[in-house]
Amino acid sequence: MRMIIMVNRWFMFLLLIPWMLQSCSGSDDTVDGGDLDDGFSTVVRDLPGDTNGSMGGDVDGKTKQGFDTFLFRLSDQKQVWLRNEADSARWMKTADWDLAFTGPYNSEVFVNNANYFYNPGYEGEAVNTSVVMIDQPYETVNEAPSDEEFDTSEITKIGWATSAYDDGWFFYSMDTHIAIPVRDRTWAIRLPDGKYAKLELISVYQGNPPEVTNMNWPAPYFTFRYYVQEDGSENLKTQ
Amino acid sequence: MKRLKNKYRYCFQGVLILLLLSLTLSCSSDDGRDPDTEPDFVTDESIFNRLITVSNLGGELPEGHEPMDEQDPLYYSLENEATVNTHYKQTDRWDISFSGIYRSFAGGNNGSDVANLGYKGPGVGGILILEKAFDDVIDIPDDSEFRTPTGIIGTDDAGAFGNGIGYYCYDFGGDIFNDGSYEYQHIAYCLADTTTVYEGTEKERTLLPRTMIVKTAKGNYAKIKMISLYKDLTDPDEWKRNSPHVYYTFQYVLAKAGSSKFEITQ
Repeated sequence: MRMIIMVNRWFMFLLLIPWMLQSCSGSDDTVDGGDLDDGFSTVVRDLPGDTNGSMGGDVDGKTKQGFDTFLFRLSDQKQVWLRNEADSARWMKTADWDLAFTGPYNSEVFVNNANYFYNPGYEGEAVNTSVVMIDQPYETVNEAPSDEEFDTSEITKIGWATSAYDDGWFFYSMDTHIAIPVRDRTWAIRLPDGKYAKLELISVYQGNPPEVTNMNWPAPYFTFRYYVQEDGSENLKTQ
Repeated sequence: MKRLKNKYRYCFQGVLILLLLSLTLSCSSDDGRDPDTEPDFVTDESIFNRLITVSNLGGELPEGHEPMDEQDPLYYSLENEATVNTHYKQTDRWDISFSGIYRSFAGGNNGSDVANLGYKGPGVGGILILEKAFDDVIDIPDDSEFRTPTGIIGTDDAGAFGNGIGYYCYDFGGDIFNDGSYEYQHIAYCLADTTTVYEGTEKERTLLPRTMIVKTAKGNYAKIKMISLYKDLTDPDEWKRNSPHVYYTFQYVLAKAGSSKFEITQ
């Protein structure tokens, strides 16, 4: 019976089910904000995504269909919304942003890049950027990968991980109805200005709660941290 | 009093466990569900070089072939035209797996890749996808082109939650292929034929057809056209939010190891 019900919900999972990003409990890594600060990294807490977006019709209080993309600049935490054609024309093809939060719940993150069609920076200025997945805890990533690794990386965006081996920053389980961030996974980035950075995406839930059981918990609100090596070297040590 | 109750409960549990055990034992010994009793197959020569159509795969599955859980994989033998008992994952009896969300992500069978369901088995297969119509896929790619992890080909970047080039486009909001109305939301569009997305808007774009190529567990090759994920519905116009899914309908042609081209000769 349960099986039948679930099958009928194909692809409604994100809406029917809360966006619960279950933080690792009982450990001292990224729970509840405090431990995220290492004295080097920039910690962004509860950056609001498009909280008015929805897939339409199903959810009370959501006022429109779809989710607007927003851009984010690491150097000054500037958040830019692409609400209309003018916004897109002004920003997309520039090197004035580093990350784009796109797709449902703004959960699919692109690093500004000119070479990939679906990247918001397509045909823009960011011709040499790249992202590499490193399956190691953020604090232990001390050095950016080689340029060769960046050059050969096939990662086009940081989104949903369809399996433990797939690139992506969250899993979704049909058993628990919980979207779970992939732990101990760090993203090394070669930025539009050539500098190296590392990024950890932590939560899409307001307050980055250790556990969420309320279907209506506010989302998307992004918690993430990053470090940019300003001297241009590959040193990404943050402890 | 309480202790006594507990005693009875344990007693009851014991009986239950015994019952279950005996049920399990009887099942596995005489009804063919024991994987040891399912016969292996020899690939029939007549399977090669002909167009094979599989309709509504995933509906009625034999016991033991049915995945236990929503995201558990389904194993299919292209060479034997049949699903495979899940106990046989570390064998070369299957060629393609469907796994992940709603089992919509395809992968080959490869024993040397830790990220493959057939890891440590004899499978030598893999998978890839081309932006080319099924009929136009003639040349068999070099073995080095095949990718070996499980579940790597599914959603296309043209839609939501895209994962590179995929065989289907997930229309989350219903506005990629339709007007965004309720019944057209959350539809998985197979990209077997040339398709137009965001028709009539400034985002309009034509997508080339997708064809998957699988290197089978035994080292032969198949080109596959994924046609539909909806039961009995192969016309994209008929796909609605509540149409029964996931039922794979696809066509394929097998070519023998050593051949350089796909061809239909029978």
